[in-house]
Amino acid sequence: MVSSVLAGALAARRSLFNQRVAEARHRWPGFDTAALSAFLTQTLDPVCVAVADVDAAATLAVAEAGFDVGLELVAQGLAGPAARLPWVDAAWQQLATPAAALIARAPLQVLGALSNAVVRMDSVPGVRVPDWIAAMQPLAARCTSGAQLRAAGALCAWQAGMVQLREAALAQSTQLPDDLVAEALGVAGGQVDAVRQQLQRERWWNPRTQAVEAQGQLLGGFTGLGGPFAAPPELRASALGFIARSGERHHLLLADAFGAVVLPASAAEFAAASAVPARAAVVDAQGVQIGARHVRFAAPDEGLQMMTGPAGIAIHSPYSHHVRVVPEVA
Amino acid sequence: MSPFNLFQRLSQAPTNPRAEPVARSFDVAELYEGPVQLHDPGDAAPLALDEKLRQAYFWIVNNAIISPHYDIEYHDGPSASFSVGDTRRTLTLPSAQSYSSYVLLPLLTFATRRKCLFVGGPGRGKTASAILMGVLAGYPVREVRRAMQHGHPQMTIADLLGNPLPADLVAAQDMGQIRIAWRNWLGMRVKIIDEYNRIPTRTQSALLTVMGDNYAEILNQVYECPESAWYLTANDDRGGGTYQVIEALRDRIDVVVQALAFNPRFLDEMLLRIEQNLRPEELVPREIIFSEAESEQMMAQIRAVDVPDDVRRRIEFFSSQFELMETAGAQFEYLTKDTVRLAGTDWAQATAADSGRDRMKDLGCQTRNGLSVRNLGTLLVYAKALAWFRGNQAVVLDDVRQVLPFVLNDKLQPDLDAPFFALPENAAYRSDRLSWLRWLLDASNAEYDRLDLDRNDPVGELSAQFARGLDGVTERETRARLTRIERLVEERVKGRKLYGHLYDDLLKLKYLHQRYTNYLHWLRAR
Repeated sequence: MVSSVLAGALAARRSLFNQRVAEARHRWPGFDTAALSAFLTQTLDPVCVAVADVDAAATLAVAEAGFDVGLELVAQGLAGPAARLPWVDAAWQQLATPAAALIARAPLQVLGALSNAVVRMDSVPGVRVPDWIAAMQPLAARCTSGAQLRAAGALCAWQAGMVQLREAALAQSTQLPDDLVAEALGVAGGQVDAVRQQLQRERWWNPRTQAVEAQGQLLGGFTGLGGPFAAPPELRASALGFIARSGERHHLLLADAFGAVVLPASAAEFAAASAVPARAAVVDAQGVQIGARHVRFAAPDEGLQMMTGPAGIAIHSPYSHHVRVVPEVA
Repeated sequence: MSPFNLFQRLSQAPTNPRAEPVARSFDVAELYEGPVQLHDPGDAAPLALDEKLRQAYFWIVNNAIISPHYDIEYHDGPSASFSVGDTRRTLTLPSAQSYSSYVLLPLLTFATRRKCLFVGGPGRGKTASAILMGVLAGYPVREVRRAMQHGHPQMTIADLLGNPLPADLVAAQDMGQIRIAWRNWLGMRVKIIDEYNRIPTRTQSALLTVMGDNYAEILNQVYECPESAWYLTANDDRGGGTYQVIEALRDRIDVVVQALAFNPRFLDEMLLRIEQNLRPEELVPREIIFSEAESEQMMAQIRAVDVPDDVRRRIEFFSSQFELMETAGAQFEYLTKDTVRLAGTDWAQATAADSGRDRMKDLGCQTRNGLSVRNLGTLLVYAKALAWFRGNQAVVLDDVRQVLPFVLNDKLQPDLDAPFFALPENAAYRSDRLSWLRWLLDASNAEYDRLDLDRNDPVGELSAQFARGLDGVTERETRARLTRIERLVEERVKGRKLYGHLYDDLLKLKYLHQRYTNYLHWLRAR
């Protein structure tokens, strides 16, 4: 059963929606109409109800846009009860109420942005999509435009593990009100400028704990077990992070206090990167001793290597498909 | 705009991604790119033309042509391959982006404004594919259909080109006053001739003028046609049409592509189209329509693609294999198959007399003719076009290898009585011309490698030396160069066996010798 709000919208646009479903069945012969029905009931309906509470006149447009977007996502297996990932439904259900005013104003843009964001984050291993949705709940209600919502979303995505967005999200945060940024970063309102500057300087500093993440991040893994490396990687340092060569493929490793990602890179980037061993580090039985700090790394002592660069120190071994990236100073 | 558009979806750029060094910059917009289209595609920055053509290609293979065959194979590292059947034919699963010749060659024809012949049995989509090319040029489907010329036994020159205005025929005092109502298709950038082998011979000659010289003429009135891509179709190009196609017309065709059989595994897609009355040519997305200015730019960009020396040398070496026929003439310059053909000499008699060479090893013994200048020009244009289509600025040998069979398909005629074709392992090449032509290039390349011509090519060095010019070359130096040429000729003819590439080398040396001789005379006369 759907609410009277969505039921009214579906009735008003019955022929249009029927045509859309017919088109979808042509494009995807296996299109699951039952999944669409469940999506409308469980996911679109709460959105329409939330929008009706803030702007009843916008309900029809929201239902229409939501139907179109939902149709596409259900057909691609990205939404509905049989979806490959639960995040689209979760994002709509949990963010519809706080973002209702924005959805009422620009339904396709807001629902599309939320959907695309969770799908994109799910595609990057290591990114914590539930954290993003949770972080966006209080922020969405305070955003006054779609642009603010997207900027706040980028800040949260970075903190949920999309490390590559670090600089872009910080730069865009200057266009957001300070209190919104403060809430997104988990600091007091008056500290925003200082915190932003410190984050730009120190990638390993976490504003929530006000401390450096001494153990850094563990990333990588064997391709046979879902990781990115077919062979234990060889590493070099670049300005952004570390470039890994594993078999015939190359990867860019980015890590900071909030997470780590492995992105595609080229042989030219590997060739241009520098191989400078970290001299201050000492190998011991359980890992590496860097100054007074002990860093855990599960690999034999033999062949253990440490590479240093602007992004920190990367610890790797010819016997491991993993890499640990840690701050040089903690 | 609805984010959902049936049949209108294009492959996302880049369609042929490659790992190139790029300045890394991450944008938050990346976070919001995904399955839901948030912007009107028309708002996006214009795509590079090669990317646009690739999108057109992928739209056609993904939406328009139901059963594409990926016969233009590229490899990036090892590819899985399997031996299949009693004949142990190889099925390869290419490890790099590969293409369907039936779609790619017509598209390259569109980009280069050349002439493409579709051959294949009835009902295989030849005409539909040609219509798609017309639509890509921006013409409405109806206009393309109406402009298509259908060959038939009663087709007259007037049917093809146009009619003199009746009033002018009566009132005109001289030929110049007779106006002609030219057919609309002559002014189009894509021209389609359906079943061209059903056109009567006389009308074929009029068509030849339009195809070859790009103008039409009736009663002394001339219509200059724009540069255009041509698509011709034939159910059977080897004599099965109503009329024999005149050789000059056949020679004007640049590439021949074969419509392969429909794979019944795709019947569900055909059923869907029947049920929904869908016609892909009516659903071509506007993003892949090319304007006239874009066509001009495409052509300019393709011309600018580089053919590196090493690739050019291999093409030279390949093409030099075929023209020589040692028994054809008495004078060195006339030892060619063309001499035999022009003299009307019996082919079997001529080949029987050619007993000095290893007829299995000599590639030239497998053909009845050599390559024309037009063939080589076409090969270079299509190789450049393929390299450009793949996003490269220079041709690689694989590009040549892939387009060569389609360019030479009915140009390089096999001598099926040659010993090569009598071997059981080569029997398939008697009917599969494309594979035979590709085999010829591979064999030529193997011989090129064996002779180590990339590193050891004295004729090439002499040519390069001459290409630097004669300004300031002294009499003494000229004599030294002449001596070097004579020594090289002497060295080359020691082996006594004459092969095609050696024949062309010797002719080149003779040319250089003559140029230096003339220069020496000029120096001494000063």
